[in-house]
Amino acid sequence: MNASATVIGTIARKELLELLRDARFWWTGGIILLLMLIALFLGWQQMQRVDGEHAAARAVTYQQWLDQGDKNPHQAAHFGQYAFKPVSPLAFVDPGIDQFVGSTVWVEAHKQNEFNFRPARDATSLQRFGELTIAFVLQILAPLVIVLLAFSAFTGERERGTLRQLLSIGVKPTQLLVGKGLAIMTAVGALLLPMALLGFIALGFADDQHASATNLYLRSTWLVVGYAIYLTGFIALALGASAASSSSRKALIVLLAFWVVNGFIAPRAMTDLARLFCPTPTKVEFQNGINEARKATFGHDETHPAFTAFRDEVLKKYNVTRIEDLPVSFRGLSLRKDDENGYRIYDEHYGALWATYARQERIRAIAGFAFPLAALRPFSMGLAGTDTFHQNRFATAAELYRRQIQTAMSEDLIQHHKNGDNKYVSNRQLWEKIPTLEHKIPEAKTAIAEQGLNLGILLVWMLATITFAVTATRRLRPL
Amino acid sequence: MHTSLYLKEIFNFERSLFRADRLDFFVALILFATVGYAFVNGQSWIDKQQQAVHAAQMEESVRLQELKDKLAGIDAGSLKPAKAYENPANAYWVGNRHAATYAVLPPTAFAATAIGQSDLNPPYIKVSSDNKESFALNEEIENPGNLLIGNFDLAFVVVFLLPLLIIALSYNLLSAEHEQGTLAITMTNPVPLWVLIAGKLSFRVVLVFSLTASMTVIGLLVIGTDLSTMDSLVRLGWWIVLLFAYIQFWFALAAAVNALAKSSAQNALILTGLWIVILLVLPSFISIAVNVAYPVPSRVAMVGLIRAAQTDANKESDATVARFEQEHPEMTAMPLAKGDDTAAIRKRVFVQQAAASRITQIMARYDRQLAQQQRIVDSLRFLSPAIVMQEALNAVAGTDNSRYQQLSLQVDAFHRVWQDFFLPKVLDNTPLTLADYQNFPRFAYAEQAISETGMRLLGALLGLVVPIAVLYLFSLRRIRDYPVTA
Repeated sequence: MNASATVIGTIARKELLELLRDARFWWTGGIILLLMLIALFLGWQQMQRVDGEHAAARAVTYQQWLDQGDKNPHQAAHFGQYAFKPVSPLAFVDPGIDQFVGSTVWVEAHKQNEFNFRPARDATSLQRFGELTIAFVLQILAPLVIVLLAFSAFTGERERGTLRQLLSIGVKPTQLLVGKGLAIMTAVGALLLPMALLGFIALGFADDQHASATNLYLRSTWLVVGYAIYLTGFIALALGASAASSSSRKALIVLLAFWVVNGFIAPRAMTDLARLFCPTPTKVEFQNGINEARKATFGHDETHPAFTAFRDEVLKKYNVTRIEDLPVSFRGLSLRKDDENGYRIYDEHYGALWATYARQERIRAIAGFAFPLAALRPFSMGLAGTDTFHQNRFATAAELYRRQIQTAMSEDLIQHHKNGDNKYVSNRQLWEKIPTLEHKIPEAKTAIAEQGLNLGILLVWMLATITFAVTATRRLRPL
Repeated sequence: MHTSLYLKEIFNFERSLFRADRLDFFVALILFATVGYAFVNGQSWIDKQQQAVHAAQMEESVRLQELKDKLAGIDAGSLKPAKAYENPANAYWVGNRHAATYAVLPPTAFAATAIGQSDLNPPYIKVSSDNKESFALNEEIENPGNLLIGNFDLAFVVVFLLPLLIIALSYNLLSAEHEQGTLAITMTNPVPLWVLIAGKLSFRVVLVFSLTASMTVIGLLVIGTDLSTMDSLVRLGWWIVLLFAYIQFWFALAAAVNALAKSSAQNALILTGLWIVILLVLPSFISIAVNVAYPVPSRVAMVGLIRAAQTDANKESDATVARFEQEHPEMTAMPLAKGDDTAAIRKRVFVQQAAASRITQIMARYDRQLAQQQRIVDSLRFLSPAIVMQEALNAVAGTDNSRYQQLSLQVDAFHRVWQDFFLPKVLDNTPLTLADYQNFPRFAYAEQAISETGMRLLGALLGLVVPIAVLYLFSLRRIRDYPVTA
């Protein structure tokens, strides 16, 4: 056991030394590091800028709400506010869907609106080639560097004739595998861990308005774990492929092909399959569904059967025969009733839409068993707080805020409006009762729970690659 | 002397080699699978989009029919609208809400080949007499995760995957012969090295190009593209020419890398590295540069500005209504469609009009910055042939940003026509009649002839041809010093 550790240690040291003397390592490592620094700088700047813009816009919309002047509370509800998506402080690592999701939603009476203004629509088509982010470097470029460092690990020894010598002095193939693996892990770790450290330090300067520091550090730690699993799997895969191939050239070609499918083909193909099996409804379909359901509710239509039924019910409850005799505002009551009817409809329809998105995500993730990016990408976005789940959680918060406004406005009518009074107005005092919309990024454990399956897929994949590497090395032919 | 003869000989020899390895079969299989999948996918995207358009148009005609039925009921005296909002004769609410019409952008015959920006820009815009901001920027519903990853369309196959296939076929064009020692034997023939490379290259170019081009044509026919119109033929012509140039570019790049006389493994890595630079790094760097040079102002700030414009207009409106009624006593005296609502509705129109010019200005700023950005991209795209190709293929398919800008311009003009139809009637307080319903303005997209995109496409072609020439010249110079023996 101890002797084995010494052998592995010697191999690892020798391999590491060789790597460090190899110009390829310094070249690719240097480029990766440079790109990551640029990505870090740009990502940080972008995040700060967008967050600043959103904070300013939030202040403006709230001020406009306060300054709207004296008016009927329901009119104020129609005026409403805009809700702006907070930027996750980890967006500088992985901006996820931020460019492709609406940033703004109008919070108004009667309806739950869609988010508008996808930043990508305001960008040139270059956006579609992808963005230079830390996530991109780690997901796409880092595996390529690993392939580059490892493809000739065994084939190279065989081609130089050193493999035979090694095996003849009693080195076990698995010892060779572990030694080489450790060396590459050390080299890649030495390249990336300082970056992770830099990221952790940068986080200390992040605005903790949207998330607590503990939350952010927990999330980042999980991010490091996820990427470590992904890259370790790649190291095992590359070493395994090198052990299983008859020549360096073949190993390289197979690994590059895998890298291409993992990074570029599988994600798109799976997205299309997801859409095929689980189509997103079109806006018209979605709206029609809501409009149909809303036909059962009365809105402002006082001839609607549901309206007359509700009126009779209220009259009966208060034991009066005329609206004028009611002790509370009937208008307020009917608005509240109609809103409550609407909430159920919106919950149902948006719930169904988001369930479709979630199913699409699950279909996409299946590919992760073979091509790990399919599991890593959602994991990374989820932990960075920039995935669809986080977006929908904010949409829910904005909707609850809308309901808070609706309820407050209707309550004011119910309590203060006299039936038959068409001139009733409220003022700033009521508007001020609505606090600003504060949204916190949920705790790390929520994201972990959502991404647990993807983490599991990643782990399974990594174990499979390690098994492959061990099996392939055991069958290693010295010649 | 016998260069062309040798060329032909090498060409045929390569063909036999490929056949022996069944490599031509594999290339065909890969292309068949990817091109086929891209077509299935592109077409299903177009189908979905057209389904959405159809659903929208159905929804509109049902809505209009309901209004007409209601109006006929009122005319016959059997129906009495409870409110102005529900009155199908009320020009304000009909123009602003009930009769809002979809301005539809029809797909071109080649739309399935490049989904381009068509997943971000909805193919229809619901135009009403309300101000532009209420409809111009509405989004189609989509899982943002899908948008982020992008689509597997023919343009993706050509721009992203074809270069990889080309790299796989040519990274060891010379290096393999060198490593196997066959190069020295081959060179004992009285044939210059460049002829050898040219022969090997031309076989591969012919193989990849003919397979891709013919599968594209077959794919187009299978999805039912009408290739008999002049428009589709011109589009097809551009597709084929661009495809040929792009394939040439990557083979030229592979030749240049081979001419550096490095090992096969090194060649493969250099070419993969170049692929990353051309397809991933350069586009994102240019994108960053463009954003630094002409940052697009934030849309979230726009929301606040527009709201301020509306609030201001609202404050000024009482005075405007008073002035209007003073200046047009004849109109206030006219019989009203729905008496109690006229003043309020007039006020709405004035508020809307007062806010309109400011809102148009605010929104125009975005269009200007975006146009500036596009101009820089138009010149910087030449740094990366992949950008040149992607933009060109989007243009051929009619899914590029410029076509959506064209739609936006035409919708602006149509919006004015729509407002001119309804708003005077609102101010005059003229009720809508069934005859008016037949005469509602209709939007029809005036297609830009593909020839108008010709200059852009010609630029794109030049953007491919120049690097091809440079790379081939470089290779020719470098292979003179190529070490034939190990």
